[in-house]
Amino acid sequence: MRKIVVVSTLAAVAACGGDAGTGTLAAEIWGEDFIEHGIPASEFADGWSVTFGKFLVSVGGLTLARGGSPPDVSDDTQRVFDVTRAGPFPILTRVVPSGRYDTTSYRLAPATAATVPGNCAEADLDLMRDRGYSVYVEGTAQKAGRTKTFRWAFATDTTYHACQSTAVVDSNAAASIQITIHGDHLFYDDLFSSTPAVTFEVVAGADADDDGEVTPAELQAFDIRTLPNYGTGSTGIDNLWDFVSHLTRTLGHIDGEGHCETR
Amino acid sequence: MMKTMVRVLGLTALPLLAAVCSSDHEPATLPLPVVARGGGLSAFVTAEGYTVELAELRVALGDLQFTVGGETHAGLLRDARRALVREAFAHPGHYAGGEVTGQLAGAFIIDAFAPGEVALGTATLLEGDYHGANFTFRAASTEDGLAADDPLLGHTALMAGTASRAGAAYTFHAVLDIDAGTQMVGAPFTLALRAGAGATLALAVLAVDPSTEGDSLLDGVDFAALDPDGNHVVEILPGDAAHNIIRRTLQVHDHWWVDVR
Repeated sequence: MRKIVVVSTLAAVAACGGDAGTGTLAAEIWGEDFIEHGIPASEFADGWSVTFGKFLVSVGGLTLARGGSPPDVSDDTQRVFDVTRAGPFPILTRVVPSGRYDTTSYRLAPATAATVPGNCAEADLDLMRDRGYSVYVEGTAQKAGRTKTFRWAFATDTTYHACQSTAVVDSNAAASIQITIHGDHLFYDDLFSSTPAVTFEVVAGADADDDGEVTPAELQAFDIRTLPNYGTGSTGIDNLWDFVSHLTRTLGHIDGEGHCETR
Repeated sequence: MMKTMVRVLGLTALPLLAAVCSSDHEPATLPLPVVARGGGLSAFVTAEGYTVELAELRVALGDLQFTVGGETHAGLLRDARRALVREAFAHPGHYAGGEVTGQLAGAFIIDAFAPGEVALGTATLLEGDYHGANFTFRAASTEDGLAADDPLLGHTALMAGTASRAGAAYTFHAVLDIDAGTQMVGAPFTLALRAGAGATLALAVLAVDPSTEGDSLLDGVDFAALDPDGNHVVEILPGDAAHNIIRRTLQVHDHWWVDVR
């Protein structure tokens, strides 16, 4: 269901203490260089590098608000984007009351029959809709002549809220808010540390049949309990697949490095 | 999942509850004493079939937090929370649990084998419906009042006891390090706290997950495999695979509980 609500009244502007007048506010999504061009070995603590062939995300539940006021923009449309493509890509643009849009929320949620393409190929949309995926990644990791590929699909449902967006819409002017996807988070070696390392060696080691592809089943079978890193906090997670799945809940940011709360 | 141990306090009048949920009522702040439960732990059986009798379990931790589930439903409650608890927008994935609306700052040693309850201090909680508790692991120091030769110094936890299986008994001693700042999130803590209510909160470490899962603190540890010299004495130290297993388990909320009395 597509539901777009734009509230733009002088009364609302006055109530929020903003300037009179309206401007345009755009929302966009970007996978940054790490997803578009790859994560270089310099980012990994163990010398691996990763490139993504596909990085699909199902994004919806977008709200854009000024402080604690009711959202001026609320859009329930779920869209699938392939953020390996050169972005940023527009999601929507609306005329809104001028003001500081510092409270954004959105969901990375399983695609449904109602999900529409953002920038993705029709076949990718079908993949996401038919199987209810929220995130799907394909990629290749390399290190010193070793190559591992992966194709991982996730149905995690994460709401990013209270995102600290920074857009300021002046009267008769334009501003934008960016949902930024951080692909390197899939390779963090801790679920909760504020200073995790980006690593791949353990994931590579999970390729039990050594056929070059690290599958979800192989990750599921890999017991991480004896590892000194791969901290899981209080979650009780004990295998690598559940670990990586949990990391998909950290992919979303706002305006580059801006943070959100998640649920 | 977890058994629910519900203790409801001070639901004295519906008008009071209505006031909590309305937007024109600032939630009350209540001081509640917090203690650490001692008295020892019962013997338990691990997934590997060892019957374990612990003789020592001490954990260094601090900064207890108490959380209400889901979104706060009144702006004033959020405002009050911000006044009570330092606001910290977390990196996605680096925060979990509900809204923190209560806390007891400080550094503590939890001794499961203390003769009785040990007072930790007085927590400050906003009225609300509590569902969880968090705390932060740390390394013990001389500021904890430990003797200079206390083996807990510089470490997060000590665990000692005996593990027996098939007629073979192993005396074990484990020294555990957990990165400072690592949080335990989501210990069961159920309390409907209303203005005027009083209660004592008792933090306890549990050897066995009280849910039907029944996981134990020492699941995954094969003591016989850790005794290559056959002397039936096992030392588990930081860096050992067994150490990593135990310290991981100790962080899981299944092994912590806040009782209300």
